[in-house]
Amino acid sequence: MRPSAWLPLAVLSACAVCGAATRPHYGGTLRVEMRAAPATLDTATPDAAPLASLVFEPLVRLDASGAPHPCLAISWQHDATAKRWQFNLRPGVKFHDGFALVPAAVVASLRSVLAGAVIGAAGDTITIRAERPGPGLLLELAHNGLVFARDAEGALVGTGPFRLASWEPGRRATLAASADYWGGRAFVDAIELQMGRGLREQLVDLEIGKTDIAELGPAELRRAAEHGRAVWSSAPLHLIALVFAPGHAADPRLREALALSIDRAAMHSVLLQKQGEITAALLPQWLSGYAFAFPTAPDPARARGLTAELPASARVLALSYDPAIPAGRAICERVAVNARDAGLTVQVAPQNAKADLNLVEVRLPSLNAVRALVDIGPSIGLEALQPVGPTPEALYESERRLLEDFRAIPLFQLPDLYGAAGRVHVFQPPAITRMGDWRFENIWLSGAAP
Amino acid sequence: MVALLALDMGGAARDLARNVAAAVAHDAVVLTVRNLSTLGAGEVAEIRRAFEPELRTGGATEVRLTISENLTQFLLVAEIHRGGEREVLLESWPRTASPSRTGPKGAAAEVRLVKRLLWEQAQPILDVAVLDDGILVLDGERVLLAHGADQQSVPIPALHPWPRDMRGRLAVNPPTFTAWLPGTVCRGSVAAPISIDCRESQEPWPLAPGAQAALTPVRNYFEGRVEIAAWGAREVPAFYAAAPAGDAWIFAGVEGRAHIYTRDWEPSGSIEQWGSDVAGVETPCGPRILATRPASLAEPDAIQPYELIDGAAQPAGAALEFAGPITALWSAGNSATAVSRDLETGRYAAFSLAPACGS
Repeated sequence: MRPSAWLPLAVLSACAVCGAATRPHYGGTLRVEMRAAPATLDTATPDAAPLASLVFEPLVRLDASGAPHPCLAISWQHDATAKRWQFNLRPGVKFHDGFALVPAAVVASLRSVLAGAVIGAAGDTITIRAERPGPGLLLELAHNGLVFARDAEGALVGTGPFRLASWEPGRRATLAASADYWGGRAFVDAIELQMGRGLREQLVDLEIGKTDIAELGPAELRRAAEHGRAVWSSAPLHLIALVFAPGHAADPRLREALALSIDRAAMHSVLLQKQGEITAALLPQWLSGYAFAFPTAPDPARARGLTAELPASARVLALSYDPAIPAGRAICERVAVNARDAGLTVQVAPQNAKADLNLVEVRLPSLNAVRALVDIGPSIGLEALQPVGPTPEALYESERRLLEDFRAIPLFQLPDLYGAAGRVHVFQPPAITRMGDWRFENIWLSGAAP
Repeated sequence: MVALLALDMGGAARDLARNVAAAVAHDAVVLTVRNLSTLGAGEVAEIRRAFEPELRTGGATEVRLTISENLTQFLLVAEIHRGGEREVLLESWPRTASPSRTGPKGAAAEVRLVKRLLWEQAQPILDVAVLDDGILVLDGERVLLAHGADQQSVPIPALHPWPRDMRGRLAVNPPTFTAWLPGTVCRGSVAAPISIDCRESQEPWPLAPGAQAALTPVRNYFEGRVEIAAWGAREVPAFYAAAPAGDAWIFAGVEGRAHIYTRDWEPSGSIEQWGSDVAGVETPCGPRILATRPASLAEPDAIQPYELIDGAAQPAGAALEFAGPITALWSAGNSATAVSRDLETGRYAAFSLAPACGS
């Protein structure tokens, strides 16, 4: 539960490449596979977020401890209320089409991200009057504030270490190293990306040397590590939760009985190989700081008591899951076993549109805890939050109210997990950031020829 | 909001203690404290002390106090369990910069190489030059001249993007100095006030006394023409570093092997188990080659002296261990300069490596 609990895995990963040699090599093509199949490389497409982080850049970045660092802005300052901010742009940065980064492009990019903020430019500085005071603006910029422009053909271009060379929507893409990237040219010449690959296919491809980087599910992690693959992890970013469909399970005792019957610890240990964290909150502990205050322990006696108060006809629930969720089916089947012990009957089926409740996966939408909570609620069918105060105290109270009627039952927060082939080395870790962004400009390949 | 941002740890602890006391109606409690944050034992004790005057102990009400944190704040979370009821109270205060960590430095090694710390800083050091009354330090952003506590620096203009694995070389001929950076050469004066003038250039870098080669622009290796004073000029495959070894030269190739060249520029062998940095040093008992080991950048490295005997490199002393990877190794004639990044602190340290032959 410690905020830095994801670090030991990252350290383990670093050691997995120990024994490799020497200064980084230039050259070669990095082959990457991913589960998502985004139709466009758009800064606003959640599925494309890790990939977009190679092409587009924000004004500021966060390090592993959450401290902001310069990226397209070399410095910034704010007034006493932390509401008015001024960012000084890095000189000499060019978009991939050769045009210089200018304040107007930054302003245009951020207007769609910072709703409610007033954004302007003066000289080489960007001024932002944030909707709320406090450091949330930097977090928002670091995660969602990617800067882009449009080239002569109207395509999006960025300033990042790679430029888009080819794109087949949802299938494959090629990125080429940007030779004059302000942060130094990437070591690899290109990245070939295959999209829409299942986790099992990716693991097989990693094992037979068909890909250099593959996403892993919790169940595949041990197998990859046993085969000597380096394993990388983000912070827990994916909420796995049970959510009741609108109009179903109207009796709150039924929902509470199910919530109290679930033994998350057993699932976490066996099905998820202890990856990520157990939770009964919507925001991960590292982002909110208070997730542990939502109790996760089962209370089978109280669950049975609540069930006993229900008519027999109301003790049956249909549970649906998306097969793409890692270990989704196994989690649902385990929920059904726990529910049976509480006197409930849970019928599990994939993609059942008429189900009473669904197992859902939601990727953390923002590093700004307030915005993340505001966005997650509606995305899983909960009522929209009233304006949320920025303090942890106010945020906790909002989250508690969202969850108190048990329409959503958070179960786990899972990280992005990746396995890397033996020829993959990282010059300056991490290759995967806390927020799951790809920093593949730091990767070099042994055996590559400059 | 402004008031909350101004709150500190002590204020947050006192406020929460008072709120908890009010919530339990001043009943006696059992207080437990756990720390999920990066705060140290001293801060935890201070927080606990803030609760002591507010709460009577020994009762049935349980107060579980957790010290936590998120990206921007520290949190104090009190979970009050009384009867079957549970209440949660929170207070928070803003995080400031993490305290700097200090860790163990590289252990002194019982080897023929005597290591002397020349300079330490947070920015990656590319090279250093020792002056009669100070030291000149080159990094990717500046040249710094230090005379004891007196420091002056001049910025290096970014004429083009630097490579990710940044390299640089420094040579001093008082009062002037020359700094070579990828695609750039800077000339300046160490006479007060320190000055510098940089321009784009593919001018060759000094590899070792009497030898020079050009670094490939925006990369981290040398390629093309190598000029060795006694041998003339010749094209060689790409290499990271070169070191004289008596009548031979050794080039650490980019493919991971070090290649031995004889005076007629014929390759006479290769070495598999070295890292990518080598440097030659003259010692009273003859020339020696210093080589890093094939470590990754995530583990401590070491530098070991070798001697070329009958065309093969033989260990000529124990390896000198460092607290992190070696990021630069340059020949300085009778000694060598090594830069290491401490894996504990993340700081860079430049050392002079003096061979103590026969000791």
